[in-house]
Amino acid sequence: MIEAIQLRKRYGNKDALKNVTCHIPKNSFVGLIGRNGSGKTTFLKLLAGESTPTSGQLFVGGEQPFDNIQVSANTMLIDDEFNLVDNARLTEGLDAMAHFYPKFDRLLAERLLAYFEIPTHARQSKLSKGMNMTYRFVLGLCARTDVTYFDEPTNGMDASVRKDVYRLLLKDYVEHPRTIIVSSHHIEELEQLLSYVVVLHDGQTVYVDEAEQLQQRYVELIGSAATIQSVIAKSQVVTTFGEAPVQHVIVPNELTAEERHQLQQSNVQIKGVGLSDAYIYMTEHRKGGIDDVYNDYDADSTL
Amino acid sequence: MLDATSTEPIYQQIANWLEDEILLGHLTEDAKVYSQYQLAELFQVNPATAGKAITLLLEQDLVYKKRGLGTFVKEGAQQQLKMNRKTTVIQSIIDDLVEQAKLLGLTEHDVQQAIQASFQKEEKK
Repeated sequence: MIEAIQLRKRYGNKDALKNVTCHIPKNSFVGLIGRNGSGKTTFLKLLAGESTPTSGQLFVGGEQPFDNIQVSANTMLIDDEFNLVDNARLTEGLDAMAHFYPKFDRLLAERLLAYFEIPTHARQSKLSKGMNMTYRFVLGLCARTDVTYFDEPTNGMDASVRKDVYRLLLKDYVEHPRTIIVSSHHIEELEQLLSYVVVLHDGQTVYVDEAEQLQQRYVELIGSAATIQSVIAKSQVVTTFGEAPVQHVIVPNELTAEERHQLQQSNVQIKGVGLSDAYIYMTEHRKGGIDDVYNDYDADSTL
Repeated sequence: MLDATSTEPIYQQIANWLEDEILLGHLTEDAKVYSQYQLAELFQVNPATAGKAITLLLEQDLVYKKRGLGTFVKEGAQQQLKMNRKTTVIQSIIDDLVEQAKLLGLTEHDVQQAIQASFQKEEKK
């Protein structure tokens, strides 16, 4: 459905995207994950046809997205700038959506806005940031385009609204299957809904696979550092934190039954590492962790 | 409902829950099992994940599909689960118990006495 081959996008003298390569199956619910500045927004803008790649190839449904009516009519990109009509009343926004997107479910949109207590007679410029994001989200969801991109849709929303948004996304995705890509640097609340993940780091795709694969990739060992070191080879260690004698050690989820047994006998806890943490460990680039900043500071203290 | 810290994949946890429902008699023979969409809604997970849970049960011959109608509990599924649980789950509980006992320096006799006391507690209720 979506095919990206060695995409590069340069802005000025910087490569926002260096090498993005992925294949995304049709009707996947995709998490586009990465730190701030990793290139998520740039990638989404390319996908939505808002700009062209500097080099490489991009196909959405077999077509190149830029300046392509066929793709535009079936694509929606919702970010914090999305406005169909400038400074309009919300009802005019709904009218515009119904006009441009044949599958737009206006009734559902109105009911959702009423549920979220967003006054549809108001002008969009008068809404708070959170309400604005919710309004945009509702429009994007109800458009029911074949491909829908949400760029950090829950920024500025309070917790209860976020919960409803995720429930809504899942409900509508089940009722009307389509390809949905949600970008976030903050995915705990979203991870269970995903079927696919694309992890970006520093403008490159570092991991592309079914969500479950990333979810299962690592385990966390918590316990006696000495025991862990005696069972696990140093080359296996992805990262560690905490202070000896008790440590947290992240390793690939490939422990043999024997290794498990040895660890558990010495009271080392073996915990699953969720998707949201897995991507953090995978893209760790700082030397040492936050604990070290404190510890070093104490050591250098002259008090 | 789902355990985020578990090392078991989500679909496995959902499959375990379905097995428990059959064991407890909440899902009886030939009763319709929740569809992957219902499970997705129930556990707030992707329907593909929920679908895998059902596949696990199909592979174990605990449920069967009726084309166009859904998935149903197989005859004897509850019995089969009881047998499986006896060997795998109870055995692993026993292994854990014995390991803990050894850690604390208890003897086999100590453990047997404790088990006896626990059974008697149940009977008194």
